[in-house]
Amino acid sequence: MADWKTQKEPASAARADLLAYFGIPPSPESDLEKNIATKRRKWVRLETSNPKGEAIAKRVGATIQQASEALLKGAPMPTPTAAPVEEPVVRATLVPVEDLLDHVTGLIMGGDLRGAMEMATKGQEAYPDSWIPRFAYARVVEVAWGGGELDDPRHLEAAIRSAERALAERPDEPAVWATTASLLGAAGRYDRLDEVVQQAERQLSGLPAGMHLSLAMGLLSRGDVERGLAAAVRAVGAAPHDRAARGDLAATIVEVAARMLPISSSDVMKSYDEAVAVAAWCASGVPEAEAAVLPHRVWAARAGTRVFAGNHVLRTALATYSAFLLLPLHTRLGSRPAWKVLWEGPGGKGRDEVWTLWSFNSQAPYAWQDTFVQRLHHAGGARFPWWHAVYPAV
Amino acid sequence: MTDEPVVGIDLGTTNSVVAFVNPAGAAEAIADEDGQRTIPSVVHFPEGGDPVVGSLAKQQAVVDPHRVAAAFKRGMGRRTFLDDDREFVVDGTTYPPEALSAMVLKKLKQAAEAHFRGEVRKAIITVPAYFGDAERKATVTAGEMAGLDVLRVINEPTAAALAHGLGGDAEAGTILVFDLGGGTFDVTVMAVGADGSLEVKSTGGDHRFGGLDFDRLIVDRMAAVVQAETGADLRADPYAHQDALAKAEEMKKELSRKETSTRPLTAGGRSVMFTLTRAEFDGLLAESGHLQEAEDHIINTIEDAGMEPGGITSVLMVGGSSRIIAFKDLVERVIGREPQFSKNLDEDVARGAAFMAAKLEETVDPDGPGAALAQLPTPVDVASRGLGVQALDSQGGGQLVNVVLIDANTPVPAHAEQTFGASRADQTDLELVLTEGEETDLDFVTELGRTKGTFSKPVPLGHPVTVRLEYSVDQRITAKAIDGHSGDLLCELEVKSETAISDDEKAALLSTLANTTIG
Repeated sequence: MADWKTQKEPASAARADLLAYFGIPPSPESDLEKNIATKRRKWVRLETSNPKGEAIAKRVGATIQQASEALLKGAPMPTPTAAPVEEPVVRATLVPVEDLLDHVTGLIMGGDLRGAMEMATKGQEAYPDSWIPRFAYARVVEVAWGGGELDDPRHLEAAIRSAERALAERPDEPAVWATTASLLGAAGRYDRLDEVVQQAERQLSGLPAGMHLSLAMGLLSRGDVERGLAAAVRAVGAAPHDRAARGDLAATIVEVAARMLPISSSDVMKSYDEAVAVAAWCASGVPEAEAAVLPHRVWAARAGTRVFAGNHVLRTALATYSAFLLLPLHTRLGSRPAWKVLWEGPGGKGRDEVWTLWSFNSQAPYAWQDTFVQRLHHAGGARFPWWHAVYPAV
Repeated sequence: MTDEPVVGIDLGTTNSVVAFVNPAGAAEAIADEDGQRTIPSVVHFPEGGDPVVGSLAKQQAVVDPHRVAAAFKRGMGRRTFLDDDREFVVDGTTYPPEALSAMVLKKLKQAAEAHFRGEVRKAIITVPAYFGDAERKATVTAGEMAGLDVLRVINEPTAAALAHGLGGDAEAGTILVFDLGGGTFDVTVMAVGADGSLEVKSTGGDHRFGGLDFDRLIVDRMAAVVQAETGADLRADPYAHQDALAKAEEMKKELSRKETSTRPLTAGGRSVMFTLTRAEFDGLLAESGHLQEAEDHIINTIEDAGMEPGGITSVLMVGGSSRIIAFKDLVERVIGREPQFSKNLDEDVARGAAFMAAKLEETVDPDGPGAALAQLPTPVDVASRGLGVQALDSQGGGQLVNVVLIDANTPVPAHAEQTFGASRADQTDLELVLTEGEETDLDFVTELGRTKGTFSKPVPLGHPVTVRLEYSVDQRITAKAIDGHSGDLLCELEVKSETAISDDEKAALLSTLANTTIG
């Protein structure tokens, strides 16, 4: 059972919960004032721990005061029990430059991005000639941007400048290359990202896995499918156990593939097939990604099917012959007022001919044009169970 | 025995004192060129001139408030001491608390050198008992920037008790030292031996609670009265505000001797006579929660010593703000004894530090009048805070927790070790994170440093790793992680003198101070 002395807030404003907040029961109610004092003293002690602890302890102290007044004087207990206090920004103590990166990394890993940003920023002021605080700053922005904590593009631009400067001083540091590439990808600067990757390939013996990923995502996002898929394959090859990266890649490739539909040419078919195959490979072993790719795999298996399989010459001849057969139909219908034909509708005397002609005219081109079956399905509005997964916008 | 002068320095939030032990074995405070033995810890930066420390600087706080720094002790170990966390900047130069403290220390050094007519380098500086590692190291840095060789940093209550005991007033037993100064509050329970030995049993307090806060309570009341009578906002005018703070301090002190105090205030071009009674002042202290907070710290500290209030045999009141009647009454009520006040309330801490310095440097003739001092056991220093490491709580859901290896108030030098297990199978590396604080919840501890180590080969889950902590008498803290099977040293961490200022800043300030005479 949790210690009531360390409990920060009562479960509710109900009397029973307020008493439990002060350890009653198991203590008898006659011990209420003693327990209030014990708990208050416990948290007074914690006010001198550190700035973050002080803020928490002061907030709990206020809650203890309100709860005790509610029990002893019948004062109303505010709901929620205490207004949340903004934890103060932990003013990062400046550390020697050689330890700065470790400290910033520690803060990032601990989830304190504000503290990490502050330490890195102060580091740049205190050590203006060192690449370390510049890289540390770029790293913090990379993590914060990726996690959605930052959305101001000026931070991104500032981080890119810092990263590029750090890169100029330390071209032998793979981590600096990786962060630079990640930031460029996030900023959509794919041309520069391309250059950076190529420079890194020349400079380093092996690219960090993150760089392949950044490049792949960037290329795919701007529609450079062929190079994007190649980079995706390299990214997964460099970090095959990175499930998150595989899932992200698979999802991105699937989006790109969906934009290729419906298949309109052999080239598009080839691209679609390839994209789905790479997506499936990336997603392998990542269940949620596999589920997203599956509809496209099913679709891709039939994507090469054409409306009319067979000899092209025969197909054309049949179409032409059919047109001749229907010529009298055209002539007959041409002698009747259109409104009468349409008014009579299907089943009417001329109606069947009209609808036959209309159907032929609308469907024949698919035969003449050697069309893929997907176009026919798409035009016909056919709905398959996985349709929405393939055409999410439809 | 050495002839080189050594001094003890009380670097206070509001006032500082430098003292030495004379050939008769008595400790006395040294006066500055104006004859003042208690020097306000205030620095003024006049335009185009050298910094000024002391009463003249304090007077300038009214007319030139943006170029005057005060109460910077509250920010020791950090970059700033101002309430809104701004840095203190004058003419484009940032002065962190260490730099400002260094200027005060230099002023005291100048006074001591004038007294001894020669260079004075060696000193012991006192700090609140509740100062942690960062604050203590910042104090040492300030001393070094002032050109001092800081022999040791000792706790203010210990120094006060030392001065009190050597005055012949101490008896064997357990004393509670209630040290309420301008900016800090310390409560210490000490065991006093029949031979005059002192051992700290527990310590507590708040190093951001003191006379300055009580002055602000009075200023708030002033502002309310002025607002009601004139409609003017006293605090909107920095000059009026500073004037009010100065007068609040005077009234606070006066109310320790008289029942009523009155001062004229000026705001918005109008003058208002402001009167405060002792009862009203006590009411302000009670409403603000300061009295309750002081009582809580007293009881916490007594409990930490494993005692009841009735076990305290005497109470020593130290620090200027302990003169406030409400606090005297509080202590008497809680402990059940009338507290004792030293004859030199404002100087006792420095005098005690001077005794300690003289004893360490053996500057007193053991056969002369100071024989008692020479024979006195050296007070036992203690770790002010618990020291430990971060670890995974395998039984608590794998959360990171703080594990205390050296408890607070453990006499130093101290060492401890504990064996932990690798937290996962095939673990290849580990991170050693050293912490300061007594709680298991990491929200309430301070990280002192971290380092990484690598196993020679992947180890299985639960592989033993022994962590050893050492806390030396000169307050150096080292931690080592050792492979429990092979005995290999995996990593080692020494808590560096990490202060809020960079080495470059320190060098620049050192150079500036070396070539500057503090006025």
